[in-house]
Formats: sequence, structure tokens, C-alpha cells
Amino acid sequence: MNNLMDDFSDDRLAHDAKMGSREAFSELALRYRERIYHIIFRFTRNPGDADDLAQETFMMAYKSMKHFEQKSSFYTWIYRIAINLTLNFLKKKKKEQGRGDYIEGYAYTEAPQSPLFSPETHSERKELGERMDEAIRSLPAAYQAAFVLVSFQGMTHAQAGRVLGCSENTVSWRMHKARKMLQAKLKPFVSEVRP
Amino acid sequence: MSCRRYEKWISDELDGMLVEKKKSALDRHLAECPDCGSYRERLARLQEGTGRLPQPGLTPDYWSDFSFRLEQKIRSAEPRPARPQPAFWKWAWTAAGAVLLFSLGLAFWLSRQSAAQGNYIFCFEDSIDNISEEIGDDADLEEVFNSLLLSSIEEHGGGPAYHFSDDPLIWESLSEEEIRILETSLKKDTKS
Amino acid sequence: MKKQKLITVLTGLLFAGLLLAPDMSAQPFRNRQRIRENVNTLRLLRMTQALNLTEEQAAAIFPLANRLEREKLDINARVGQGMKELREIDKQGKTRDEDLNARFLVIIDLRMQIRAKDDEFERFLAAQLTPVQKVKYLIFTVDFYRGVGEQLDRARALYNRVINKQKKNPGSGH
Repeated sequence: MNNLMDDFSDDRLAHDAKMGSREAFSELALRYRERIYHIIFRFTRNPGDADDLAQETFMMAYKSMKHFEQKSSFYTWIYRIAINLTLNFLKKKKKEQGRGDYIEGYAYTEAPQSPLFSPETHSERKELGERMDEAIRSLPAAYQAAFVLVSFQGMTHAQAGRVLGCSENTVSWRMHKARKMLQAKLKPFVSEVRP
Repeated sequence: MSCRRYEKWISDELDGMLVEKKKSALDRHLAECPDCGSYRERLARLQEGTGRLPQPGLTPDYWSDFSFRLEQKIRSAEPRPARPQPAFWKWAWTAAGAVLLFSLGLAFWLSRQSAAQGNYIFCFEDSIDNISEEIGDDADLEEVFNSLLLSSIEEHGGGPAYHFSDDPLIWESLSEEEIRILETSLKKDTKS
Repeated sequence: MKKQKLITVLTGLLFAGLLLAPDMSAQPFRNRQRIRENVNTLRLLRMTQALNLTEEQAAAIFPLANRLEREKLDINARVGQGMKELREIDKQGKTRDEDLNARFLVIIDLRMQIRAKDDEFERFLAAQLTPVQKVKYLIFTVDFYRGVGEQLDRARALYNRVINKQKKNPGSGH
């Protein structure tokens, strides 16, 4: 619908959205909805929760547009909102339900099969996937956030630092700590992974 | 230098954050230290494993629905505080409203002319507007037109709901795949 | 034949879905809604054949079309209500300019929302169709709406024949 806005930069759209343009905000939401959903999903591993939190992220961003000072990019700002909302949600959920319920009811989509596919390697991969999920989610929130942004979203340490509101060096240390913890939890599985 | 420092460098290297000088030093250490070599292999496999974690498979229809729901929420959100408008802007908005009304009327009149000249209609609503305009209040003409539409629908294999539900054999003759497609459509429909 | 059967069943779903639409109490309004629904159904049926849609494409497109049409019906109902109120106000002539402006903008906004549904449908189609199908879609669209206009002309000709026959033979039944 917003064909005219296809060529507008994020900065221009953010500026217009700050001034009250709903169309400009909608165009920004269109550009980032998938990335925001996927980053949240990496934390929650539950499609329903990811959907709710993604909607909440955009609503919060919409309501706070006038406070967005454009010192960072819109991308960084909305990621920060998404991460904060998600981590708060997970903390609350941890207290209410206990970690075991997180992955209940979630159906995995099958990863593309490699030429070396066999039922044995497939079930091993599935188990590793489940274990890795659990291990990542057991990390302390700050380490989990850094790990997800860098390993899954492909951000540099500097980019992740801007999203998380910390220094590049801090992200670097959190990645190191996260990996140490993960490889310790997953040692038997990581040693068995086939290329 | 202890292996603990190298472990941090291994992590940085996996993220492409290690400077060249440190990378050379790390490579030299890895050639000599089997423990750090194993540690690096485990981290590399971990990194590889993250790339193969299951992804949610979301369809274009899901994203359309996502944007639609978000748009609805945005529309019903509290109005943003209006900035005080000087009198000039109030008159400007009133004038803009009048211009818009005139433009819409002109566009509507022109579209009628275009339709009469056989120009192209691309939009469903334009077509319905034209039909409504032509039929006006003539209920009989409306009825005749509707009958022609229904017979066209039946020609193309579609049928009114009451015919469809009267034929139980339709269900029995469906294949597993057809039932699966229908189930998916029904679920989406019910959810929306 | 397999495809024909699937189209029949999906059309049934389309009808069933539209039956769930909000109940329009006024008869004339309901008749006009039937025409909308039937034009839409015919459009989808003909489009399936003209574009040679696969079963998967049809299964994706029909439910969306169903949903959007329901949403348009809902918005149309609000437009109808708004127009009814405007006519009352116009008769009475006692309302303030700000109120008139606000009501005017509401109707315009609702109309734009309806158009936005068509845009949404076309965007969805664009994501589903192959390049060849997209070209066929444009050609189909123009031909289809022209065809609808021609069908209305046929209806008028048929109707006029019936009326003229009745005038010549006033005592005859239908």
C-alpha cells in the first residue's frame, strides 16, 4: 500500500512517524516485523508468545515515538524495546510457571534435510536442537540476550551493545561467558555433532 | 599467558571480532595446546548447531494478518496529543477538506464517464460502485442480475451453500490431501 | 475433476464463511450484499481457472478473500450507518461545522479502509503468484469487470423483455 514510502530511509520514516504519520510507522513496522518476531522467538521458542510480544513491541514503539530522539537508528531502538519486553516477560513466566513449560506445545518445523540424512542423525539433531534451546534459555538474561543477538541475528558486538545499552567490550565478555556455559552443558552433544 | 585469556580470544574469533595480531598469536597457541584446540572445536560445533535450530515456518498470510492486527490496534490507540494549531492551520484544514470533497466528487464523476467510455476497471470496489449506481433502487433488476450471477457461478462448478451441504458424498469422495487443505482453510478461517 | 471438486468445496466454504458475516437487518441492503458476495465468488472461481491456480494457491487465497470480504461487510455496515446519520443531519440542518467535518472524515476514512482491503488482497496475491500468473491476473481483472458490466446489461435487457411482455399481456402470470 505505501509504495511511495518504499524508497524512504528509516530515518525519514522515523521522523515522519514522530510527527504523527501513522503510515510512516506502518511502513517501518512492515520492514521490521519479521526480524522482531524472529528475535523474540529465539528467546521464547513459543510462536504464540512471540506473536503477542512482537505486537506489543510495535505498539509500545508507536506510543513512544515522540520520545525517540533518533540518536540511534530506529532498528536499534525497536530491538531494544523487543529485548526488554521479552526478558521481562520471561522473568515473569519463570516465576509463574517454571522453566520446563516453555517448550511445551511447541511444534518444530523440520530443518532442510542434508544429503547425509538418516533417521538416526535426524533424531540426534532434533535432540541437540531441543537441548540447545533449553541450554540457551537457561543462561542468565544478560548473557542470553547477547548470545541471541550475536549468534542468531548476526550482529557485531558493537551493534549488540547499542541494542542492549552496554559497551562492545561488555558484549564480548558476555559472549565468552555464554559460550563457556553452553559448551559445558552441551559437552556430550557438541562432541557428537556430525558436520 | 594462561589458557583462560585464549578462551576469550577464541570466542572473539568466532564472531569475527579478533584483530589480526591476536589472531596470529592465537593460531600459534592452538598449534601447541590440545586442550584449547578441543575447546575451539566444541565452540565451533556449538556455533554450527545454532545455525540448524528449527525456525518457525510462517506464511505470507500470517504476516498479512499480523500487520492487519497491528494496524487495528494502532487505529484504536489513544489519539496522540494534538499540537496546538494556530488559526491559520484551522482554516487551512477546512479548505483542504473542501478541496478533498470536491476532488472526490470530481473523481467519482470522471470514473462514471470512464466506465461509459469503456476504460479499465481494476478495483473490485469500483466495479461494485458501478453496479450499485446502475441498479439504483430497482429491486427487480437486482434480482435478475443476481440470478445471472448465480447461474454463472454454477457453470463454473461452484454452488450455493445449501446445495453443497445437501451432498454428503462430496465429503466421502475427498482425498486425504484435499481434506488436509480444507482443514487448514477452516482453521485459518475460524481463527480469523 | 479433482481440481473441480476442490473448487466446489472451497466455494462452499466461501459461502459458509460469508453466512457468518454480520446480519444485515434491512432487506434492500441484504440484497445488495448478496450481489457483492456473488460477484466476489464468481471472480474467485474464474480467477482460479484463468490463472490456473494450484490447489495450494487456492487454499491460501480463498480463506484470505473470505476474511477480507467479511471485514469489508463490517466496514460497509458502518458506512451505511454513518450515511444514514448524515442524511438525518442534512434534513435537520442543525449540526455544527466541526461535527460535520468529523463525520465527513469518518466516512472517508471508512471508504479508504475498504479500498485498503482490496490493496491487501492484491499484495497477498502478488506474493503468491508466479510472474506469468501476475500478467494473467491483470488481463483477467480487466476482462472480468468488463464481463460483469455486460452481464448487468444482459440482465437489464432480460428484465425489459419481461416487463414489455407483461405490458402486452397484463393478465399473464410469470
